[in-house]
Amino acid sequence: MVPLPKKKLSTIAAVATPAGTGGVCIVRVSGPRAHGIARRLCPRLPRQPRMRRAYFSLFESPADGSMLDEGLVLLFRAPFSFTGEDVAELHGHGGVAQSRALIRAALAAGAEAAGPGAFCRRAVENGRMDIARAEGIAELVAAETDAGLRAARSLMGGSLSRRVEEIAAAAEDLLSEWEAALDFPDETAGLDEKVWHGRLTRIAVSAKQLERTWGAGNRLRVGPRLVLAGPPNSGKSSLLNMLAGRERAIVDHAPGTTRDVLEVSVDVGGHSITLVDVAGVRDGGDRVEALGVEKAMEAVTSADVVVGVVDASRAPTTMDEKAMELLANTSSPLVMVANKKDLGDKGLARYRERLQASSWVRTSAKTGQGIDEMKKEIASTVEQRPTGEAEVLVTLERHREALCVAWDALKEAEIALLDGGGVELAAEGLREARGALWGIIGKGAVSDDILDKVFERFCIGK
Amino acid sequence: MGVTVDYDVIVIGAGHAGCEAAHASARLGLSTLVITPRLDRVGWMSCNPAVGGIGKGHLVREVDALGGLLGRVVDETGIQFRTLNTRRGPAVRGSRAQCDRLLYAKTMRAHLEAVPGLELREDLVEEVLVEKASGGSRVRGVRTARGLDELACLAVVVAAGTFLGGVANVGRRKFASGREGDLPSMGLSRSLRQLGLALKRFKTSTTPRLDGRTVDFDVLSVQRGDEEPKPFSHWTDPERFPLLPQRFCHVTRTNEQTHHIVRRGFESLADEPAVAGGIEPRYCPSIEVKLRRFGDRMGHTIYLEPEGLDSNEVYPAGLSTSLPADVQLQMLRTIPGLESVEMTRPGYGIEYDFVIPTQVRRSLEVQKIGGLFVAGQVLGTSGYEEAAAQGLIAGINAGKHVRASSNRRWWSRESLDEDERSGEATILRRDQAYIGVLIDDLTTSGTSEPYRVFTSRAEHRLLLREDNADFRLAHLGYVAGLITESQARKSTAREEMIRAEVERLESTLPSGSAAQKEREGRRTLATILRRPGITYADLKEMDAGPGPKLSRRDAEGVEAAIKYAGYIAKLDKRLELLGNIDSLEIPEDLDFSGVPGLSVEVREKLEHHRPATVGQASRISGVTPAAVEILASLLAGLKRACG
Repeated sequence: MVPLPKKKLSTIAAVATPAGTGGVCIVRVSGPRAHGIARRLCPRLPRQPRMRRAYFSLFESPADGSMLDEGLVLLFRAPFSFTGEDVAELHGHGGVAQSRALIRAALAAGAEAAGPGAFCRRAVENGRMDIARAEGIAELVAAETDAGLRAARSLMGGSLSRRVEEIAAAAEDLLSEWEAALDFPDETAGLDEKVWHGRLTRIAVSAKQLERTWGAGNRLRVGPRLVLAGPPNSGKSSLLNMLAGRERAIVDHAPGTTRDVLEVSVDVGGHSITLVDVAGVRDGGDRVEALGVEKAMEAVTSADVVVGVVDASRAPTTMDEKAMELLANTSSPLVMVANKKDLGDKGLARYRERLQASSWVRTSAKTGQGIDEMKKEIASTVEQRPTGEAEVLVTLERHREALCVAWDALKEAEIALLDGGGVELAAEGLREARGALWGIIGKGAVSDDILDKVFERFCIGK
Repeated sequence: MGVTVDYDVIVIGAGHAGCEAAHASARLGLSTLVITPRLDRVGWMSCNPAVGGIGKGHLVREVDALGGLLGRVVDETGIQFRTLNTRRGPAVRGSRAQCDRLLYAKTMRAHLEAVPGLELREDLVEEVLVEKASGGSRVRGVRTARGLDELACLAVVVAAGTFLGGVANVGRRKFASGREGDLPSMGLSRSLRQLGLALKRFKTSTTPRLDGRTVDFDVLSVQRGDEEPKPFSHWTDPERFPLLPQRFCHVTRTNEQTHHIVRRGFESLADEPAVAGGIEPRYCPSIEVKLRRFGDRMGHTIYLEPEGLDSNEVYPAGLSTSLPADVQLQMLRTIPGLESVEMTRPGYGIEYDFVIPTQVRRSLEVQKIGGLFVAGQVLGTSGYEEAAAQGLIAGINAGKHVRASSNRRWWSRESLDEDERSGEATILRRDQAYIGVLIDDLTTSGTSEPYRVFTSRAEHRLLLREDNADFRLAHLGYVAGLITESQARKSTAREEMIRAEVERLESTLPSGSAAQKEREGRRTLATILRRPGITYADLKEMDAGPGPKLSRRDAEGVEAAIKYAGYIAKLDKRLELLGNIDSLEIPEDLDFSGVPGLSVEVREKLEHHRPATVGQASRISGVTPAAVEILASLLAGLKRACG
């Protein structure tokens, strides 16, 4: 990145508080002219104001000197500010038209309207934080669950950045050794080339291990996946509708009505959960349904919590036995639901025998009996899942993609090293992997589409 | 109209950059004058009597493919030819040659004198003269110290090496010097500053020279050249090569005692800014800097290189130093084989002004001063090869500049500076040549130490090889007018032959009893060649033919094409997508604020950097892909409209 002289940069302004009426409206101004603009708007600012101190002032229109509002103004001197530039903050009264008038005044005084995430982007470009940490901020703001919040805090705190930095540093070390060996064969005659392959493999494995945390990491972000599974016509879709609070799945009495996977995001006892309804497990049926069954198996194996639904009003059939087998084999936490309580529980004993360890909840989707109990059971199971606070988890798709690119490139490097392509060919792979890792934290030359993609998720004023 | 010039192009300096610049400009048909402070130092090798190396050999091949002189002169005066890095693949092998120093200079001068329209003159340029022109100024001539007061010309190439404000030192002894025994150029330094150019200082040093009769070669290991030496030049006949008798080098090593003396000598001079200060090239450091940087556990390799066929002098490569002469001698005598050595001259350090390279365009023309070009060590680089490469590009572009301005002059003197010539300047891309990497690095990022080419600087290293330099560049040399049609044809034929041979190997199964298993596995000769450590020559036994007779260079071309095939195919695809947009030129007077759809931020950055092409624009941080697309479609439209 070629650094630009500061004076060339524009000064930007935006309302940093949400639109609408509220206690306070904050206009944030950043850039070389930020303090000058604040001075034009705030006549009561002392000639030599102290930094980071709140001054009470009138806010005036720079056009005609008319009074707009009164409030607090704070100044920050570069580089000791959020963006790393000179910053001014004007705290006025919160109101729709009022905040609009204030930002207009800032623009009239010479600022330019900031785009989405422009302040964070400047913070990144001025080296105040790396991209991954900026993404953590976006995540923090967007988080709707406690688990998501924890994941966002960890990202913002730089735990992923540090891990990626470590792997990238190992790649950089090995690469510089290779480059030295290629460009200075005389000075590097003492290098131990036999360990190169081992070092390369270790780097690849670390990248892969980090990439593998994406599943768990992403669940923290979007909430756990809960799969409703069980034999056909056990009432799964009816239960799903009750959980989701609306007619989501097609409910029909003919077995095999639910042919595809349905997903719906719901709040269960304060937890954001992705509900997955899958086709009933059974053999036969038409081809479309067979496909659905395959997807069901997949969904069950990748679920964070499985809710097994059976019709306990009758004795289990062969088909039911088969479904039980699948449920018994899942490694995810299991909540068993004996549905159709309104029709009796003749089969319950047999089911309990098959799945002794699990807790059983008796429900009736028809009458609504036991639904609250089921929700409670689900919530407590979700709470028992690991929170991922201690470990470094990949939570964003962008990071995962970069790790995949790095992994592929490292594998190519390995092949080149072993199959005679030579160090110079292997170095191409290692260079690419390093670039991908750097892309996560925004080191080296960051392509602008990465920056654009990251910052378009931000809101204006952030 | 009515304006007479003494010369079209004046080249200041006759070192490796100056010689190439003058040769190129004169070959383009322009009257060219070279001014040098010492006419008997034309093409002088001020440091090693050697050319090439890893990355540097690549540059020599590229200069040659474009029609430069360097490779041919090396072939004519080389007394040892050696390929470095033979353990590694073809992309990172480098050719290197020891030359006869005196013969090299003599031959270079003879080549220059053979070009019609090229004159050499001994003098010192004191000032570059400019006149006002729209958008800045333009060159109108030079003023020299001794000869005619003013010489009028249309373009000037500054290739003054280390002579600008040069100060040499041996220990505490300091003297104004451009090179040992030669006068520096003080006035020119001042003149360039007055023109608004920012200069900075670098430092470099050379080794002492030894009396070969006092070296005990018998105790040292011998380093021979290649058994089957490869010429540098594409146009040298490999059948009648080498031309001169070949010589050995010898190898020795520094030891603890050597280091002790160096360290003590260095400490005694610690207060001496000429020793302690200055920025030296990291990769050709003095022995004192080497010790400070790398420590001394293993000692440092010293190559004893012959100065020439008829010379007794020996050049101990790896021992650059500016320590006091008596310390140099003490140090030398600790090294095996040099116990009773005598020095013929001490090593010395030299500090000099260089032009901060971000002030020139990729054509090597100074921004805002039309017709002023800078090339070589004076632009912050190190090495003969780097200098020659820049000299060649500066020479070609100075020539083009003169042609363009002469055409315009006929119409109107006022519009002379309106810049259409930038569109036709010869500019190499980073994926095209090391020369492109070198010049792009210098002009975009500048340099904090004397810049040297490495293979690791090239992001397309596997494409930029010695074996394919002519495929990459000969057509450009032909278009520029430095390569003859028959040479261009020869290069095309060679490319075709290698392509055909690669195809044959891809489809031919091995023959002979030893290769039975390979045949059964349907493994082609190409598959076998891809294996570790297998060379083209190894295929001979299992190849029933009929293959062509390939020179070693050609064989390396085949090896590279096969070993890197997968990578190259992948890269070609990527470059093809990028290439078209990348090379779109941005007119120098384009007003970015008038381009609709660009954000203020992008506009500012473009305005600040003034990129010459869309490719360059896309590499500026903050210029978004969307902005690149807008620029590309605008410029593509302009191009169509202008025909």
